Amino acid sequence: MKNKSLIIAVLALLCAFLLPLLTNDYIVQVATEIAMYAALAAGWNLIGGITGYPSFGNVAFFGLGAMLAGAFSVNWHWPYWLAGIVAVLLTGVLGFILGLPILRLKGHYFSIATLALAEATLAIVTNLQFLGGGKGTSLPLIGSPLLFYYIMLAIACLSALITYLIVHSQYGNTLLAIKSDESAAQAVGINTVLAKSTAFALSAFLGSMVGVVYAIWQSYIDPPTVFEPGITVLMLVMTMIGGAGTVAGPIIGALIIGIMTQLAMAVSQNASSLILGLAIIVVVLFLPQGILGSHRSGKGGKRPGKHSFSWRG
Amino acid sequence: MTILQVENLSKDFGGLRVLENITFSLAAGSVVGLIGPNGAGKSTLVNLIAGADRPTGGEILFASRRLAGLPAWRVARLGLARTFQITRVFTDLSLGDNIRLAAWTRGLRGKGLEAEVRRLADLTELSDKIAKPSRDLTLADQKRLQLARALALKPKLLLLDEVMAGLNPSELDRAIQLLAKLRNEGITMLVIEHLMRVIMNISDRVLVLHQGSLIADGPPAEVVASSQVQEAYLGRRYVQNR
Repeated sequence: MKNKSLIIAVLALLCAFLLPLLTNDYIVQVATEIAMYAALAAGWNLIGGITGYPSFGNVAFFGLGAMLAGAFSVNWHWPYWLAGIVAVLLTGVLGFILGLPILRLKGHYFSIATLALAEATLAIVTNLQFLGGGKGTSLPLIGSPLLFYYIMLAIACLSALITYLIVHSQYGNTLLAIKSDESAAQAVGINTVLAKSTAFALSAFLGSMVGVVYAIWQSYIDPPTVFEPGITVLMLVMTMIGGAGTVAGPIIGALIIGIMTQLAMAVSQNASSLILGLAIIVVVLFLPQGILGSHRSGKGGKRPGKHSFSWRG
Repeated sequence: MTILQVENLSKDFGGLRVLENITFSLAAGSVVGLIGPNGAGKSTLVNLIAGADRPTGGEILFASRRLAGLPAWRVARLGLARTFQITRVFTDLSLGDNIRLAAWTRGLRGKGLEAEVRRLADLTELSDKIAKPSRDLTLADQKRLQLARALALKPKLLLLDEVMAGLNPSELDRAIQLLAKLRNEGITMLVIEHLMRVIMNISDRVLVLHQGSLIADGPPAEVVASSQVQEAYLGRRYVQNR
């Protein structure tokens, strides 16, 4: 089973690597977006899928990564790679600190708090002139579409690798135990506050990393675009479709939604929203564990919960 | 030597006082039964001792250390383990991973960790189900798993909250044998149980809670003979039938 998964992963990576040689620029652009969302969804999966805390505010970390890197680069004239590293580290630390109070909340209360976190971050960033204020930040045009495709692909692979290492570690078991029953997890000596906040920080770290690359890829960023709540919804839906708590789930979900969106847009610009809505309904009704979760059900061992994540009050 | 000292412990839920000035102590190596009717405050008492809830007043000393204000995970790492009345296993993990996780938080790694998982699975007669998802276990197996998980912390004190409830007669016999084995290993236990057969079998001493107050504390035979205990919990027929 392990070997089969490894072979599939290597073949998929090979296909992704060779994709630009076999297709045109438009497909590469779409594939870059899919890789970007796969990485974002994998980051969301750490806190929402594995730990069972469905965040509605992860876009805050994506947006912060983009805006901070842009600001450090433009205002302080730092090389972009340095601005990016500092932005990612700062966002990760912020994720940890914010996680300490927010992750004391559970279920709907946690989700509402993260939604408020994203909106508050948007308001703060919009009013901070250092971060470009409401008018946004222009960045120099560097690199090529092909370069950004490979960078996003590398981040998606890194996200999957981090998820794999976590899922196959005692730390991953700690997070799954918290998802199953937090009181029981504490009763076996698990410092749940530390474990959850670390997962939130890792989630913020990955989201921010994607934001940093997105900013320089697009060369212009403004708060309404990079703090768009729909980005979090996409992370959540992609993870749910693929299988929350699994390694490949977010990637499969990003692929499905990415391809379906493109097909829908060929029909009508607005059809993509309709497709997303239908996808959510289908998943909730027929695939509550997602594609991988349903596939693995009943085979024993470690696997996603009965429900991909629970709304625990 | 006293391992647990509870002094004037009280707990209010809003305007309702569920525990009132509870005072008792446990000697190291002893097995103490805790009985009382439903709603007497037994599980609340266990929650307070285990750090899952905070007392309104009073003091809990475990191995001479104050527990008040410590989170449950710190209490567990001090060597105070518990099971839950309604089974709470980690359903996303296999049976082996449930035990392994608890032993890992205790600091075991590598071969030592794996040996401990096997030892506890053997002790609780769960070896053949070690790879099984814990959500697919029967109630009796989930209860045994909770016990194995608690033992993985190498506890100085074990709080067992109705570990026998819902078991059939043969499962019950095996569970009693298991507790007797633990008793022989010298583990101090506070056992909440409704089944008097179990309490009379394994306890050195019995505490009786009624409406949040401790109404009796003594050897099992003495406690069941108490008219106050018969009135509040056992009923007179229990003594006549013995």
